[in-house]
Formats: sequence, structure tokens, C-alpha cells
Amino acid sequence: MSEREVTLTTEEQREDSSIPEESESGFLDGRSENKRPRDYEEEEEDGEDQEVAAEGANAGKSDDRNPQEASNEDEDGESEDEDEESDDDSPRKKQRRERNRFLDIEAEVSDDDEEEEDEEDSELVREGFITHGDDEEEEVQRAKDDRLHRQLDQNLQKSSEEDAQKLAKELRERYGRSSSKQYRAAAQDGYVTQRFMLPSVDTATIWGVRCRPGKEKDLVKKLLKKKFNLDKSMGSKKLKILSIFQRDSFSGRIYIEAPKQSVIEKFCNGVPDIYVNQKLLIPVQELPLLLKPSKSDDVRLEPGSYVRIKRGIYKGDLAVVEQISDNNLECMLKVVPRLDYGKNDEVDPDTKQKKAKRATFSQRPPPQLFNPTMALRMDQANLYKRDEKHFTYRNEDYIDGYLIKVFKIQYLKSKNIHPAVEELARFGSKDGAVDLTTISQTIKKAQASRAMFQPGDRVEILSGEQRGSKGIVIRTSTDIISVKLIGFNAKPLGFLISSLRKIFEPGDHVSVMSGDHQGDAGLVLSVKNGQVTFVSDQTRENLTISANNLTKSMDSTPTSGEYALHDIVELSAKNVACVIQAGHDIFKVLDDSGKVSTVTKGSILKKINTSRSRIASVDGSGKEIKIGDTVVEKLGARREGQVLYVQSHQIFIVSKKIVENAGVFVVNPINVEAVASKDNLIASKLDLSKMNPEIAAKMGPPSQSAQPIRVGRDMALNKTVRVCSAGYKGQLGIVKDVNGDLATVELHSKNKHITVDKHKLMYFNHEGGDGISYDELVSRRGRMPHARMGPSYVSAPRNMATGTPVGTVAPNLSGNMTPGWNSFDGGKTPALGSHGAGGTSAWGGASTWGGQGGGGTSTWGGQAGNASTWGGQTGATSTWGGASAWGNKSNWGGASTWTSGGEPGATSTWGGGDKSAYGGASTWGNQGGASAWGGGNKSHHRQDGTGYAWGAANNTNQGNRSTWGDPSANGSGSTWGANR
Amino acid sequence: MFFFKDLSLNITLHPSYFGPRMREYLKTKLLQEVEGTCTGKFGYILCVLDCENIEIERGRILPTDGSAEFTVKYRAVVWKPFKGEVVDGIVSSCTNLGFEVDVGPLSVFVSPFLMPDDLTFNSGSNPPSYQSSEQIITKGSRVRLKIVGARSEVNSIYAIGSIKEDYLGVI
Repeated sequence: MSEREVTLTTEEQREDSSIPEESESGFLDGRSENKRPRDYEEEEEDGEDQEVAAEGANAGKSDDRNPQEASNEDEDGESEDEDEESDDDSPRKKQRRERNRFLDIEAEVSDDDEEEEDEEDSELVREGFITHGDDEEEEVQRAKDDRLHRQLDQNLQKSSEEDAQKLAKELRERYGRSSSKQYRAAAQDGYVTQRFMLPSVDTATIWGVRCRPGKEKDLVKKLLKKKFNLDKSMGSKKLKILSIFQRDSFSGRIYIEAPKQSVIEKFCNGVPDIYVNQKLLIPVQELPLLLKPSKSDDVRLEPGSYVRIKRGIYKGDLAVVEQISDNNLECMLKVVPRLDYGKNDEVDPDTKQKKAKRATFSQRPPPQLFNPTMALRMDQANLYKRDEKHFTYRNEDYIDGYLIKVFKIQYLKSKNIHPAVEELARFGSKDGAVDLTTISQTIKKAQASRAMFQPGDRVEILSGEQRGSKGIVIRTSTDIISVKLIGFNAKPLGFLISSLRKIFEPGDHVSVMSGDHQGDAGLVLSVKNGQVTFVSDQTRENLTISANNLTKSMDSTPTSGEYALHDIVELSAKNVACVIQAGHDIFKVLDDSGKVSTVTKGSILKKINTSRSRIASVDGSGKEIKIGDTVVEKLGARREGQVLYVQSHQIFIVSKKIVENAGVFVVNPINVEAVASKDNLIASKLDLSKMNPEIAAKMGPPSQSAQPIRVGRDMALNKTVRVCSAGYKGQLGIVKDVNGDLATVELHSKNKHITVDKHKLMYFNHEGGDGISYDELVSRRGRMPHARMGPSYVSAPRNMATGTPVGTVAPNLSGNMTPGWNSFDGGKTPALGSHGAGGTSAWGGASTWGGQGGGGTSTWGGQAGNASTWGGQTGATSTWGGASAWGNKSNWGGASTWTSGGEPGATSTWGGGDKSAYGGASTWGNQGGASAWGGGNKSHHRQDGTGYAWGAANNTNQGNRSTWGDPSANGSGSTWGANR
Repeated sequence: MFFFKDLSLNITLHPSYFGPRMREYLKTKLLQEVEGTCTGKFGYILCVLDCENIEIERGRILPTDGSAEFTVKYRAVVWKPFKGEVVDGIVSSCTNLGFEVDVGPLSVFVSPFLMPDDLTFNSGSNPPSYQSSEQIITKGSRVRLKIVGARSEVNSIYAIGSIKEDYLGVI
């Protein structure tokens, strides 16, 4: 609200009806032209040395502060600046004295006046104290106005008739100033130096009269009316009141210009709120000061602007102007109410009636929106419901939860309101969103309006002789910038800040120095009328900022504070968000629910260091997602991006292809699939053997890992095992089932199944032999060592014959230790050996053979592998294939064929074993046996049937032979051993 | 603009690489690390020339971990966009804020401010496009533009372009 002038129009006005309103001070009477600061200011302006002007502005600034402080002193409620005041007390006097020395300088400030004049006019009209009003009033007013105008016209006419001489005379009479010779001379010239226009002792005196603070403007108006009335009633005998005015900077005082003190007393008699006794003659040297227009830092109040309340329980609270009264003295505010709903009311013990306790500032309830339910419950009597949102409670209106109340403007603070965002949030729309633009309107940083120039800036001169020329800033000081003009070799010239504007060209990289977008940077797109439009690096949005708030920037990183774009920040213990626009104090963040909100720096708890975070999540297909991984949405837009942060159920992803929200979006990890993992890349880098081509080349194709993938039945199944772990250690059994690492073993000893780790079993051949571990078993692909040998089938029958469980036989198995047999190299058997190692394996198959309780025949036949093997050797295959032949002796003869294979030793042996020999194992023993089976065998062979097992046979007899030899067995064909 | 530029790179090598094929490895590593990258200072390194004649200085064993550091000097073709340069590219995206053009590795943004006045955004078209009576610019269009400004970061370059001049626009 800018200070208003109240001009008391007296009949003298005709003389100066052309006086423009002085912007700052309201005063009546135009005769004071000659002491009007403005007049001399203008003359002064151009000739003024720049330096002095700067100084003057400084002085003016310091002057500004004093009246303000003075007003603070006057404010009863205002205590905030107390300490400051005490500090400043002494310098103030000094400054006042200084001011007097610099009278001409003060005038310099008046530049603003011209600018503000228009505003002023409109304001006067808007103020409405002249014409606006109710219709009836308006009628009256109009009639009155007409009369006034007519009167004025007449006066003007009259005055124009009067010659200058008369005018001067009149002036002389009135002021007695014209006695000054210099003045007269000057007046004739039309040029008056400032010095001569200063008030002197001879001029009328101005009295400062105490009045009720806040009533100043009212009083001036009242007095104006009173003056009119008095003039009318008194006719020619008029009171010599020359002017009445008030200054906003000096509250509680109005100033009356009158030649005599008594006139004032008489004049003010009967007017309330004026304390005529407390009046003060303003010293002459201070008079100019009184009228010095202080540089207005007033904020013009308009609906929607923010103010603070100065007193009452709402003292210091932020309020929004809803409406301003026509007379500009009151305004309707929207305040967040502080209500206790009668909780703290005192109950009168006698009448049992509640007595509303007046809330005091010290014990005021916290601000909270009006709660009708509470009011209804606690204090129903005082509540009236107007409509859904409108309540009247204790004679105050609450709309939408806000208190709507009329406050006097003088009890409001409208300057330097820095609303905290918390406060603004209370006024925010329902969803708590804060409108950045409203904030920016209010939060005007001191430097925001001040242009900042730095050496090297390119500037354009806006006014003066060099207007339009361009230059480069060489040196800066507070107000004067020295600029070297391009194209002139002259030394740098000084210019006022206000006359300079920075120049930018499309393509320049600029950053914002102040304001909401402070720290933002971008490339300039266009420049128009000092407004620069650039595309922000951060948001890719177009921003338009006035040129003087920008600076050319070299580095593109936004300089805003500790939180940068795409930082993950913690808003509360459970709430994280991603910065999508980093401003100076205000950040736009995207929270984990995907909502964009605006927060202050203060409401951010901390920044989360994502490089240290090890949180991982799992995508739709079960792959791990970590920070830095690239993922793609499975559905919808299939947005792709890098994981910024992983929260339990949401992941923040940034995509370079998306413009909105700075490319950040939030999805559920289930809905994305990992494309590339950052860790994979790193891991592969760290794998030296893969990285180094030398090593990789040596390694050849990647070898199978130690644990081959097993398919099909587990090797352990159906194997005879001995338990190696505690509990059943040493017991034998058969693996019945394998589940993972656990094997179910059917014990031989007890009718019991136990579950053991399959690695903790020793695996045995059916007929015993060395146990092997599971790993060995696997590496042998399930084949047991002994099974390779032919004898296995020999031993098997024996087992069967005896029917003894293998386990029990196990000790005997050591019998296998026949030199030849023991060596796993089956080839060692003379016959077999001669046939080649291949035969061996074939023999291994033979174990099955042995296992066959049924006719060996079938077994033999079935064993194609064996057959081939054998066949490979001699072609005896057929013979063997006709294993059935085994059944019949003749075939055995065939066996001879076998023998005929050409291996002398074996041949003979077997051959020897022909039918006759069949029984006559002797043959076996005779020759082949001799060689391979050990010479000892021979004899044993002959001992038919004695040998239980071959193994056993070693020692004592060729039991096997007996088996073989046993005709009956052969005959049975079922098995050799079986019959035995 | 394209340049030949003599550049050098320090490569640190783990001891396991010390061996007969070390030089070869250094070369491959150089190509991997350098080709296709962007430095704000020199622009985009498009191609390393004379792969066979890359000069590898003697390595220096680093005292701490036994790795060796080699300075590899090479010559490369670099491309740095300059203000005022006229380039051709393909539109990669088109929004109401402007369209973005891929000029090789560089992406150039063209704002409506820097388009002819009669070119307006048509959000209704599919895909969204800028249209005037003479030309339609949409994703995939080939466009000739003039680079108006470029911002170099440590490892990226971002530029804005203009088609608001004669002979610029769709080609």
C-alpha cells in the first residue's frame, strides 16, 4: 500500500490547481511550490555528478531506515526491532545532521516520483474518498463537486485576471518571503536554486500534533472537512491553516502548517483522537526532511497478497488479503484460525456460566482450520451454520475452515513478508499443493529486483547519451558500473545500474542468478524486450526471465544447494522421493507413489547416497534389479531407463527419452524386466581370466564345471551303500530313493529306511569291492569299479547261489583280490587282455550278467554292448550272442570259437573249456587260466564246485570254475551260479 | 566440424596382461575406451586412425598394485559441433516444446522459437508433428538445421538448433 496524500483543498488552491500530487507526503496547499523539493530536483538532475548521486542514493537509503524505525518505536505492539533500535540510536542523530548537509541530494531520489505519479492518480481515484460511495451520497457529493468545480473555475478566472505583480504581492503577504532579494530575482528568472527555496524562519511553522496512532489518515480527512465547514460558516474570517498532512513513516502524528499555535488549537478543538496539547514545533532545518519523499518499499496490497498481522492472538500470523475496503483503511483477511473451542474458558462458579476467556498471545491455541464438529461439541451455543462451508462462530465468520475477518490496515505488515512454505501450505489448495507462482509473487528477495552485473557481462545502455550502444562491464560497484563501449577506444564510462541491461543472444548458455529459478541454466532461445527465453537444462521447459537476472554461465551444472536433479531424497522415515526440479529453496519431487509435489529445502531430511545403497529388487521374471541397471517396462509404453533407486515396492527409473518429470517415473518392479545389469558388466570386467585375451586363449572353450548337470536318474539309486556318517555308520543298505542331496537307504540289517546325505555314503558294487564316494561314482557315470570285470558276473551267481546278501558277503569280496582281477584293468586277464582294453568295458557290462538270476542266456543276448565288444575281438560274438549256447554245451563248443579268436592263451583256455571241459574247467585252468588267472588257478579249477566265488577261488579253488563246470547249472541255463 | 586430432590416453594394465600380446591388447582396449565417446573439449571421437601405428610408450609400473600405466598416443577423427554450423540430421522426437534431431551422435534441440513462424505444432497428427504449408516435420524426418548454441559438459554435448533461415528445414 503506498502512502496516500490527502490534499486539503482550500480556496488558495486555485493558485496552484496545477500542482501535481506529491507522491509521498499528503499535504494541503499548493503555495508551497517554492519549497517543493521536486522542483529543484528536476533542475538538478542532469548536472549532478554521478558519484555524488550514488552517494546520495546511499544517504537516501539510510534515511529510509530511520523513519521506519521511528514508526516501529511508535508501534505499541512492535517489539521486534528493539535491540536494533538501541544500536542505532546514536547514529541516527548524526545521519540527520548529515542529511541537512546533503539536502540537494535527497532531492535526487525523486526520480521515482515521476514513475509513480500515474499510479498515484489512479490510486487517488481508486481510493474513492472523493467520489465513490453509495448512490445517495454520490448525488450529494456530485452536487457538492459541481459547486466546487464552479467555484474553482471562477477562482481561476479571477486569478488569470490578476497580474503577476499582484500575485507576487499576495505571495509576499502570505509568506513574507518575497522580501528576500535573491529570491525575487530568481523568481523572475524562472530559475530558483534549491538553497533559496528552503524554508526559513519567516515561513509558516509546521506543528506535529500527537494523535491516536492509526487514525492519521482519518484525521486528515476529517480536518479537511472541518476546514471546509469552518470556511463556509466563518466567511471571510478564515482560520489560517495552510496545510495538513501526515507521514506514514511517522505514525501517531499529523502535521499542521499554520502561522500560529493558537490557530491550531482552535482548529483542532473538539476533534477526537487528536491530542492538541502534545504538539511539537518542527525545527526549520528539519522541515524539508519532513516532506522528503521516502523511497517507497511499500507493497501494494491487493486481494491475494500476503500480509502479517501485527497484534492480537494472530500476531505474526500469515494472512491472505481477501478484500480491501473502499477507503483503503481496512481489509478482509483470510487467516488460519487459532481456536480452542472454549476449552480454556473459565466457568463462573456462581452462575455456572462459562465466561469466554480472552485468548492472549502468550497462550494462544495452535493454528488449525476451523473444525465445525469440535465447535458443535464443545461450544454449540455460539455456532451458527450458514451453509455447508460457512459458519459463524462466536460472531466471527469461518469459510472453508478459514477465519474471515476484517483488520485495520495499520495493524498489518505488508512489507518483507517471507511466508514459510509451511504457512503457505496451510493456505494451499485442498491437496496441499503449493502454487509456486503465488509464492514467487510474495517472496521477493532483496536481490531479485536488483540487477547484478559482473565484469565481462555484455550490456546495452538504455538511457542517456549513449543510449542504444553496447559495451562490456569492466568494473562494478554498488550503483555505478563502468562499461567499456564496444567500438570506442575511450576509457570506460560509468553508468547507473538502472540504465543498463544485459544482452544475450540466442544460443548463449545462461544461468539464473536469483528468484524462483535460481540456479537453473539453459540455452537462450530468444530475446525480446529484455526478456530472455531459454530452454532449461534440467526440465527442458522454456523459461522466460528478465535479462538482468541472468548471467552467462560456463558450466552447466545447476548451482542449487545440496540437492541436485535426480537426487534421491528422504522426505520422512518412510517416504523417499526423487528431485525432478531443483530450484533455490524449492524443489519439485516425485515421490514413490508417483505423485509430484513441491517441497522446501527444509522439508527434505537428507539425500540418500545411492552409490552406497545395496538394495535390490526382483523383476517380473525373477531377475535381480539393482541401482544402475537398465530396465524396460513390460507393459504399456515400454519405457526404458536406468534404475535410480529401489524401494521396497517401487523403483525409480530415469529415462533420457522422456521429458516430463525430468524423465523420472516410478514403477513396480514386477512390471519391468531387466535388460542389462550394471553389475554383470562390472563382474565380467573383474574376471581377469576372461578379460585377458592371453589367458582366454589358453583356456580354450570354457570347461565344464566340476559338477556336471545330471539328468535322468540319480547315480546313487539302487546302489549298495555303506553309511559313513554317525548313527548308522558302517551299515549297509540299498539306496531306494534320492531326493536332492538326501538318499533314502534301505538298510540290510534292519527293516528300516533311513535318510542320509548321499555324499556321506560309500558306494559299493553289489559284490563288494572298494567303496567309492558319490563324487567318484558320478565321475564314473554310475559304473562301479568292479563291474567292469568279467568276474563280476561270476561272483554274482555265487551270491545268488548262496543267497547271502551282498553285505554279508562283503568280506569275501576281498577275494576278488586276485592279482589279475584286482587290477581294474580288466585287460589283464590274459584272454581279455589280449582282446584289448575295449573288451574290458564290455566285460563291465557283464556285471549285469552276473546279476541276472535268470538264464545267463538272455543276459548275454541282451547285452549288445558286450556282444559287439566281443565280436570286435574275434567274431566270436555270434557265439556269445548265442549266449543261449551257454545253456547248451554245444555252444560252449562255440565258445571254443571264441577262443579261436586267435589269442593263443585265451583260446586255448576257453577252447579247453569246451563241452567236455565244461565240466572240465580244467581246460580253463589248463592254459589260459594258467597265464592270466594265475598259475594257481589251474589246480583250483579242477576242484569243481568248491569255490564259492572267484575271489574266494583264488585262495582255495576256482569255485567259479566249478560253477561253470557244473553241468547242471549249465543245463539250467538260468544262471550259472544260480543253480550252484 | 571434423578434425584430425592427436590425442593420448593413459591405460592401466593389470599384471596378468603382461606378455607377448600386450600391445595388441592395449590397442583393443584403446579402441574400446575411446571410439564413440564424447569429450566436451574435443567433441565426439569418431574413429581412431592408423590402428597399426598407435604409439605406445613404455609402461610404468605403479608402485602400489603392480599394474602398469601406458600412455597411448593416437590420432583420431573428432567431430565438434560449432555455433553457426549447418548440419543434417534425423528427427528423433517431436513434442510441443520442440523437436530433437539426431545429428550423428549429437542430439540437437529445435525450439518453436527457432522455427519459421508458420510452422506450428500439430498434436493431433500421429505421430505428433510440426506442420506448415510447405513442410511437415515429424519423427524420422530428415532436417537441415543450423546450430545456434552448444553446451559442452564433461562428457556430453547438447545443442540447440534453428531452422528459421533460408534453406533450412526438411530436406
